[in-house]
Amino acid sequence: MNQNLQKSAIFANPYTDRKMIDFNDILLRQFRIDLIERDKNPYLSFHKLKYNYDYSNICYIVDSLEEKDKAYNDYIYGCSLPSSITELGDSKVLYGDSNNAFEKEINWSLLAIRKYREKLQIFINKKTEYEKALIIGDYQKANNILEIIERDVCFSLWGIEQRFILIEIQKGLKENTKFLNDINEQNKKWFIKRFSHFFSLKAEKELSVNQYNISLARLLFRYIESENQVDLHYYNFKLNFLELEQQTLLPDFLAIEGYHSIIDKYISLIRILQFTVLENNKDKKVFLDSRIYYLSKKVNDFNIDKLRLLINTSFDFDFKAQETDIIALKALDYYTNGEYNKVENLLEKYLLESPLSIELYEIYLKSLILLGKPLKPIGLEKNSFQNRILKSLHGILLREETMPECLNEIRKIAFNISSIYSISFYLMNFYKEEVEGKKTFKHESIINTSFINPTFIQLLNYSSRSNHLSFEFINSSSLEYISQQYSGTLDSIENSNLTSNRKKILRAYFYQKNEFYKDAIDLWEEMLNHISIKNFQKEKILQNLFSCLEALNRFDKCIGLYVDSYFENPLLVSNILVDRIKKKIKTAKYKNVSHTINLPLFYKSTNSEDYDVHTAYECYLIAQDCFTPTELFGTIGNNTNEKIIFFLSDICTLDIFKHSPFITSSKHKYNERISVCKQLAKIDSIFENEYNNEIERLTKRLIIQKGIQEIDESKIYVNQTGIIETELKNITSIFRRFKIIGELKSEKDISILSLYSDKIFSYKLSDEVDGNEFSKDPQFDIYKDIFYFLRDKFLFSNYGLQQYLSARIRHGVLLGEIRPEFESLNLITEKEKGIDRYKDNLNWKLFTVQLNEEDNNKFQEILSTFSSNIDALINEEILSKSLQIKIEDKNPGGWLDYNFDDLTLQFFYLTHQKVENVEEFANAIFNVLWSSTEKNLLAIKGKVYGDIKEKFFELLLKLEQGLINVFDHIPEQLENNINEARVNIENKLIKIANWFSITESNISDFQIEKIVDVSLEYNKSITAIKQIKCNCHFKGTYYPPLVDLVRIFMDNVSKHAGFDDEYVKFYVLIEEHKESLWMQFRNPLAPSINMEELKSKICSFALDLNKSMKEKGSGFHKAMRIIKSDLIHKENDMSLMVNDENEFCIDIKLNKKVLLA
Amino acid sequence: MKVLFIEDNPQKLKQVSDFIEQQYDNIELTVRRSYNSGLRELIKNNSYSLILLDMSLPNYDIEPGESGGDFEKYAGKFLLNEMYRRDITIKVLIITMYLNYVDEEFSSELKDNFPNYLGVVYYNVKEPDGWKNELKLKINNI
Repeated sequence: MNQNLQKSAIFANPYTDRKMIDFNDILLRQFRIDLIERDKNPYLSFHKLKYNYDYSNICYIVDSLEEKDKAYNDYIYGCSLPSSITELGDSKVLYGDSNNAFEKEINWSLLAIRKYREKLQIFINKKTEYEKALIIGDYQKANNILEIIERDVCFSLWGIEQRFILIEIQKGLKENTKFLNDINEQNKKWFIKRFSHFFSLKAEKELSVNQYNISLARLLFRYIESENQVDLHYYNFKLNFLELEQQTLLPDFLAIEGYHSIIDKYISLIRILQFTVLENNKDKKVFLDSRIYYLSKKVNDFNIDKLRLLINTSFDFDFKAQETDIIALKALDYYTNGEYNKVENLLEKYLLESPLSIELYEIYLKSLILLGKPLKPIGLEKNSFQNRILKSLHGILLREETMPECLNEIRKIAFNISSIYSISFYLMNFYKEEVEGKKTFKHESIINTSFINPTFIQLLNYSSRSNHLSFEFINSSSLEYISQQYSGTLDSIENSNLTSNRKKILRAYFYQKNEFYKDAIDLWEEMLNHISIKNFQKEKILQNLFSCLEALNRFDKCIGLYVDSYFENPLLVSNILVDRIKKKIKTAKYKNVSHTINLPLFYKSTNSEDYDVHTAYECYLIAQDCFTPTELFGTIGNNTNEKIIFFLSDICTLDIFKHSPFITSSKHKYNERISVCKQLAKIDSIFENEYNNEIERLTKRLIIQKGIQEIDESKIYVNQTGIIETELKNITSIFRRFKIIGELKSEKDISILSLYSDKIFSYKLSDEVDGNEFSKDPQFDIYKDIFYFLRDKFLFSNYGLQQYLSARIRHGVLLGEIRPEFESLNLITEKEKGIDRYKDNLNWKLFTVQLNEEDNNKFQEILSTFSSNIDALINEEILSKSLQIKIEDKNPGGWLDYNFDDLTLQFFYLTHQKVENVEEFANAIFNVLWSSTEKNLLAIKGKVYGDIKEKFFELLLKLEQGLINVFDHIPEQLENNINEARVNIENKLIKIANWFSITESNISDFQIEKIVDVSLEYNKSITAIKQIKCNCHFKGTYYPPLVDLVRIFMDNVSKHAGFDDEYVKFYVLIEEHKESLWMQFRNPLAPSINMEELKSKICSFALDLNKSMKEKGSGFHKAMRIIKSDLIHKENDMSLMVNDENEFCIDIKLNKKVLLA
Repeated sequence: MKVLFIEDNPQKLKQVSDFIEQQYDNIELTVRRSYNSGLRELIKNNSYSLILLDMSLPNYDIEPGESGGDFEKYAGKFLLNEMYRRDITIKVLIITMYLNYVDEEFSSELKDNFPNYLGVVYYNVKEPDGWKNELKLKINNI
C-alpha cells in the first residue's frame, strides 16, 4: 500500500477520533487481502510492507499477524533466534528498494529488536562480561558465558567467531580446524561457511595478517569486477573493516543481516548508526535521533548512550556515568598532572577489573616508563590478550629494537579479537599511526571507547557536554589539556590549572600553530635537551621541531636533526614526515642544502629511491672533489666515524653506483664495491668478517660473469686438437696413400680401392666399359675422401661441432633463453603434463573475469595457440630444422652448410696437393672448414636477427590480431607486455646471434667450484647444496666441457626428477683424491617416478654416439661422451644409480692429472 | 642541428635514424645506447639541440663482456632528472614502444617537472606512418 492510498483513506473518514483505529484496521485488512491473493508468494506482500509502510503501521500489522499466524514470522524477523549452528541463516530476507532505503532498513531492524529486546538485553549484558573474561585470560568463564548466551539467547555468527578464538587459545589450531569442519557439516549455507572460514583464520594464534588479507582478497576478487558491489562492500564491512580506510556503508547491509541472528543484526545496526552519526549529516539527524531514542527505550546499552551524547539528542536523556568512568578519568587526570605513582597504583587493579579500557593501558605504561619501572604481567594469565597488548605497547613506547615485532603483534591481536571493537579499533589506529603516520581509525576508536574519556568528550558539542555530563567530566584536567591544545590562547594556557610542564608543551603547540616558529623552536629545543626525557616524548618533540625548522626553510638544520637522531635511535625519527622537504630540495636542484655527509645519510635513512640517494651521494662526493668513493679514501683515511662507515657500507653500494656517470661498466661497479668493502674491513673491524664475505661474494659474482662470457664465447667449438690426436693415425695412412697415388699418377692399370667404398679407381678409365666405377683422378678422389673424412670428424665426431652445438645451444639452452622472455610477460604457458594441451593462462583474470564462458574459452584458445606457435618456432623451425648441419644427404634446411661441390674441392685439392706433412695437411683442411664455419656463422647471425626475429614478431602480431578480431581491443597491460616482448626478444636474439662467433677465447685456469656456480646461472630452478673439497686449479680448456657436463645434469633434474614446483634440490659433492677427481651429483625423485622402470633404464645404459647428438632424452649420452672424449682419459667413468632413499645419483671419476693446470 | 639519440633497441634505432637521415639533411645524429653512456655524453657535451630519448634502457652499453647491467624501466625519467639538476636545457622528445608512457597522466607529470620535455612519440612498429608523422611534426616545431 502506498502513501497516496493512505492519504485517501484519511480524507475519506471525517471522524478524527476514530480515524487512526479505522485506518490501521483498513491497512491491516488490505494487507491481509494482499497476502491471501498472493498466497503462493507472501514474499511480495512482506516486501511491500517493509518498503512502503510507515513504521507505526508496520508494527500494528505485524503485531496483529503474529497473534494469528506465526508462519509469517519468517518473513518479518527471519530466524532471529537460531537454537543451533544448523539453524543459522535459515531466514527469508527482504531487500531491494532504493527509495529511503536507509530509513526503511533501520526501521525493519528495529522491528526485530523490538520483538526480541529481552533476549537482546541478556546478550548486551553478557557480551561485556564475556569480553572482559576473554581479555584477562579467564577462558573458563568466557566459555561459560558463551554457553549461557547460546542457551538463553541464541546461536550467532558473533558466537561462532568467539568460539574460534577460545578454541584456538585453549586447544590450538587442530581443534580450531575441527570446529570449522563441524560447522561445515552442520550448516551447508555458503555464507555461513565463508564467514566460518574467515573467523577460523582470524582466530589463529600464529595468524599472518597478510595471509588472511590475501585469502580475503581471493574471495573478494571476483566481486571487484562484477556488478554485485553490495556483496563486496558487505564482506568488507564484516571481515575487512580493520584494513579499509574508506568503508562504503550501504543500507542493504541491514537487509542482508536479515539472514542472521538478532545478535548479529544488533551489532551491525550499532556499527551503522555509529558511522552515520560520525558522518554528521544534518539531513539524517532528526531521523537518527528519533531512532536511537527508540532503541534506547528498548535496550540499555552504553553504546547507545554514546550515540545519544554525540548526536546531542533532543529527547529526554538522563545519562548516568558509571563509577568506572570516574576512576578512569581520575587515572587520566593523575597522568596529566604528572602524578605517575598514583596512576600506577590505581591502574594495576583497575585494568584487571576494566580490561576493555584500552586507552588506560597506554598511560599506565607511560607512567611506568617515566617512573623508570619495569612492566610486570598483571592477573593470573601471563599470556592473556591483556598482557600481550601491554607487553607490545610497552616495547613500542620504549622505541626498542623489538618495536617492529611489537607492532606486528598489536596488529595480529587486533585481528584476533576484531569483534571487540573497543580494543580492536584502538589497536589498529595505534598501529596505523605508528606505521603509516595516519590516524586511520581515530573516530571508530573513540566512539567505541568503553568509558567516557576526554577525547570522546572533545567530540561532543558544548550543549551536549553541559546538558548531560556531570561536573567531574567537564572540569577534568585531561579534558582541559586537550581543549587547550585545540583552542587555547597564551592567556588561557597560563591561567589554567595545568602543571608547568603541560603549560610549556601547550605554549609550544600554540606558537607552532600560529606560525611563531622561532618561539616554538626554542621551547621544543629546551624540552629536547631535558635529561630525563623518554623516547616516546622525544619522538613527538622531534616531529614538532622538525616541522618548525622546515617551515622556516632551515633545511640543513632539519637534516642534521634527523640524521643525528637517527644515529641515536632510528625509531625516534621513523614517523617524521620528510616528503615535503625532499620535494623542496629537488625543486631547488639541491642548491638549498649543504652538500655535507648528512645529505646522503638523510636520503638513505628516509628510505628514498636509489636514484635520489645517488644524487645526494654525488653531491657529497663532488663537494669532496671526488667522483668515486675510492677517491674519498685518501681524505677520510682510517676515520672510524659512524657516519663515514654508514656512508660506505649502506650508500656506496651496487644499487647506487649504477646511477653514477663516473662508474662506467658492470665490472667497474663490482670492483668499486670490492674496494669499498676492503676499506670498511680496515676501519670497521668489528664487521670485518661480513665485509670479507661480501668481497668473496662479489669476487665470485665477477668470476661467474666472466665464466658465462667464456661459455657464451665457446658455444661454437670444435676440439681440433682432440680430433688430430685421436684420428691422426688414420689420417696418416690415408695421407700416405694420397701421396703415393700422386706419385704413381702416371702409371697405368692400377686399381685402388677407395677408402670408404667398394668403388675401384682406374687410371685407364677411358678403357673401362663402366667408367662410373673408376675415378678420373684417383688422387683427387682420395683427397675428397680425406677431406670428407676430416670434415665428418670436424662435424660429427666426439670432438665435433655437432656435439657442442647440441650440448651448448640446442639441448635446452636456446629454449631456456627464449621461452622465459614470453613466460615472464605472462604470454605463454607450459603444456599440461602428459597431454598435448597447454595450461590455461590465468594471469589475465582482471580481463577474463569480465568475459562469459565462451569468450573466456576463445581468449584461452588464442593464448594457447600462441604458446604452441612459440614452441613450434623454437623447437621445430629453429632447433630441428635450421640449427642443423647441412651436408650432401642430410638436413637440406640446415643453416650450417658444409656441402662442397667438386669445383671448390678441386681448388682446395690443388692448394693442398704439395703439403708434405700429415698434421700440416690436416690443419690445412681444418682451416678450410673453419673458414666455411665463419661464413656459416655470419649468415646465421643475420638469419637469427633477421628471419627469426621477424617470425617472432609475426607471431606477436598474429596474437594481437587474434585478440582484436574477437574482442575488438587488447587489454592495455597485455598490449604493453606484447610490446615489451618485442623489445626483450630482440635483445635476446642479439645475445643469441653473438653466440655464433668463433672467439679466440683464452680461458683462464679455474677452480672446480666455478663450474657449479656458472652452471647454476643457467638453471635458476635448482637449489644446489655444495660440498667441495678440492683446491686445485684446472686448465682453462676443460672449463667449457665441465660446465656442459654439470649443466646437462641440472637440466635433467629440472626436466625429469618429477617435481612441478621450482627449486629442486641438487647435491654436489666434489672431492680431490691422489690421482683422481670424484664428483657425485644427487637429487631426490618425486614419488610419481616409476623407480623400477628407471632402474632398468640405468642398467641398460651404454654410450651411443648417435644419441649424444640428439636433443631429446636425458643427455647422459652427451655427458658420457664429454667424460670420455673432452676430458681425455679412457679411465674416466660415469655411473648412474638410484639409492635407497630414492635419490638419483651420478658418480663420476676423472683422471686428475690430465685436467690439472 | 645536432641531435643525440639515446636508444638501445637496434631496430628502433635503425628505423628512426634512417627516417631522420632521409628527412633532414641538416641533422647530425649521435647515438648512445645506455643510461650511463647517455648521461656521460650529456655531461660532456652540452651542444645538442635535441635529445631523442628512450624511456627504458640498460645501465651500460651491451657489448662483448658487458651484459648491460640492470635494465632500468625509468631510465629516461632519470636522465630528465639529471638534466634538470645539472641545468642542461636541451629539449627532449621521448620515443617509446610502451603505451603506458604515452599515457596522459605520465606525460603531464613529465611536463610539470621538466620544462624541456617536448612530449612523447609512440613508436608503434605496426603503424610506422603514425610515429614518423608525429616525430616529423614535433621536430619541425622545434
